[in-house]
Amino acid sequence: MRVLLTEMRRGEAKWAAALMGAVGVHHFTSEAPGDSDWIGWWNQTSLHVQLFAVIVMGSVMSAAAAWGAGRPFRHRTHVWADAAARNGWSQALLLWLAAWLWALIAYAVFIAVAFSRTSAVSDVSAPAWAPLLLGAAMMGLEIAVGVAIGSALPSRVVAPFAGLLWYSLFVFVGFVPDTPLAKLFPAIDEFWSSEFEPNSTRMLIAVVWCLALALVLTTLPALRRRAALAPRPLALGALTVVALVAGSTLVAFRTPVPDSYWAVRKEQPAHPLCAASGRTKVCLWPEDRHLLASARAAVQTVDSSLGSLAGLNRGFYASGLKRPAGDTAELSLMSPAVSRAELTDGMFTAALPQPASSKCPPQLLDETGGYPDTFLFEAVVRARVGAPGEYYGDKFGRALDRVTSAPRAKQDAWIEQAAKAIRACRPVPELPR
Amino acid sequence: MTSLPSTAATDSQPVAAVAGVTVRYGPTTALDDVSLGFPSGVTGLLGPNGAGKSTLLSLLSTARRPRSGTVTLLGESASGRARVQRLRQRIGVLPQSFGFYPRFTALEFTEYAAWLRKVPAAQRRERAYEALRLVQMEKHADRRMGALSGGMLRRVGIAQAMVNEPSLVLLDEPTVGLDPAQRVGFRSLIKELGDRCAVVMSTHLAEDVAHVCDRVAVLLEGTARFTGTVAELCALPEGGTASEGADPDEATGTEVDGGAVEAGYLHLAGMETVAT
Repeated sequence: MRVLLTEMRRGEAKWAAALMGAVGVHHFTSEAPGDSDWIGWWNQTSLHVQLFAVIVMGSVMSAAAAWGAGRPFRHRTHVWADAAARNGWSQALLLWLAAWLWALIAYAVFIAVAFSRTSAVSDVSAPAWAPLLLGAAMMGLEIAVGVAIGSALPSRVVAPFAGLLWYSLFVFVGFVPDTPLAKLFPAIDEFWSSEFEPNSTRMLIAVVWCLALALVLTTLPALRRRAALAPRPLALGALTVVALVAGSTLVAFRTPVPDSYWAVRKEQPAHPLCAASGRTKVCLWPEDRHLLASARAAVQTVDSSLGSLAGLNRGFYASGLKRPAGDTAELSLMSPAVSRAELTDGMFTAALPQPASSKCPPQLLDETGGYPDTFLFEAVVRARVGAPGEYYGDKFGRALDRVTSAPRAKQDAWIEQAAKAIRACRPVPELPR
Repeated sequence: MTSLPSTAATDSQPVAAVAGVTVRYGPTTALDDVSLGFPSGVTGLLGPNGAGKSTLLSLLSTARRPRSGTVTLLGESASGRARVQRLRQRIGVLPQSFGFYPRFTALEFTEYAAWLRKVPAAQRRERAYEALRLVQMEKHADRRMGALSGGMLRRVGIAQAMVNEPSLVLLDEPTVGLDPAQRVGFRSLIKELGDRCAVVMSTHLAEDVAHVCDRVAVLLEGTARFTGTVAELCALPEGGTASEGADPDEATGTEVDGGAVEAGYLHLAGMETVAT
């Protein structure tokens, strides 16, 4: 234990961890909840911490571990260390463990900071541990690769090489996400709203894979340095088998597109949180109860604005919630700290009818300058409720005026018929004169 | 060249022995069918650079395996993973170029060496202090290795070799790079070690052998040319065959100087001493 503490105190990994700790704390404190896609959602918070730790800190710690592992060459201690009774694996494990523990200390700080930010927004406490565990194991693997590379090549260049190797791998996986590399070296860069939860089984298998492979990799220096005592074949064989089984299991798992490999959809809640006003209703996941007050205010605004307009959706259900048939729509929440105004705007958007089939081609309208008729429909509805949308040019504006300057009854009739047409994948009726 | 019969065979229990060992580095033969025994006390391995001294020490430290021949340490054959691991716990090594971690303190470094030699965790710190005390470095235990002088570093090097209370200590050119005063102090330290355990010390300095060693083996071009007491080596230029009749214990206590050792060594090497 004391030797480990000495290695932690005197080794180079502490500087890398300190640097990463400072960078990470700045990263996790600099974002405002309103602009964030993770502050307030526990799953997203864990994913965000995991992603930063694996891609940024893991790469740097891998480089630091490679530098530390090259120390016996730089200081010529391998001459007598290789003749020691302690086998080469134990020596590599000491370096690995010291660097990993430093990384875990910085990681714990990130988790504390990120969780404190989310708990300040969310009204529930539901930390997701599986992604964090996976992030810790993945960093262990990255550091083990650093130790293996640093021990194999007695050059100072290998340290930055180890870091760049990992960073390049993650960039590659980012561009080509369908390779097995994404499953074997996970840095999960996904958006999970409240409808998802981590696929803990896969993540725990990935944890086993990462740690088993990390331990196997730390045996490489001992196997390469012939003077050093080699690891016990039985232990090495057992770890190799575990790594192979876990790794091949991960590769063998399939997920139907477009679902996430690392997430599963949650069970429907027994009691979704709903707010209603008049004919309008909004329902949220229980995890988003911190949004309920804003939702109540927003639903009143939407109901009074839409009034008696027919043909529009009036029931809004957060993504993933089961919704009844009829004039209901999915309400996408892209931020856990969405404001009342943003919720209102989101409901106005969700109120617009959508074609029943996703294969419905856009119906282009000459009167609007060639824009799809759904654009005009949205502009008409937004003009009615006093929430203007995008500007698409003068011709589009004149078409909009034709509808909005028509008598209210004619407008309502056009909106109702247009809504039906859009749902049926037909062009909207002729604009009122 | 004169080659005397080995006296090692007459020692009842050599602490370490090699028999018929051959080591090659590519086309170069570093050791050629060498058989030597190393009893308790301090044994010097004398020879020029490239004679095979460091290679022989690496065989005795089990860091290297011979191409042919056998190595016996502490009464056991140095083969098989478990046995080698057990043997390494009883051997201390100070290599010629002693590497160290400059940021470690002397105590931390010695403790690290104790960990490497599998000293039980509960005893490591105590043993590390003890080893530093043995080499009179206890006052500098908390100084960083990078801040120590060359002589101090050598002492810490000895401390790390002694931290596991070994039965066999291997020192590769331990006095190289030391100033004359440090060298004198270091020689007496090595002599003290010889009272605790068997010490095999390689050197190319006849002075070291004269002042420190009880016995000496001369290696030339990868072959063992002599083994016996220091007094026997000194007697060679006069044509003596002291090894066959001399009492080793008596010879050990005899004061000899480096010049006499050098003369014996040069005689073996087929060279004459240059009169100045």
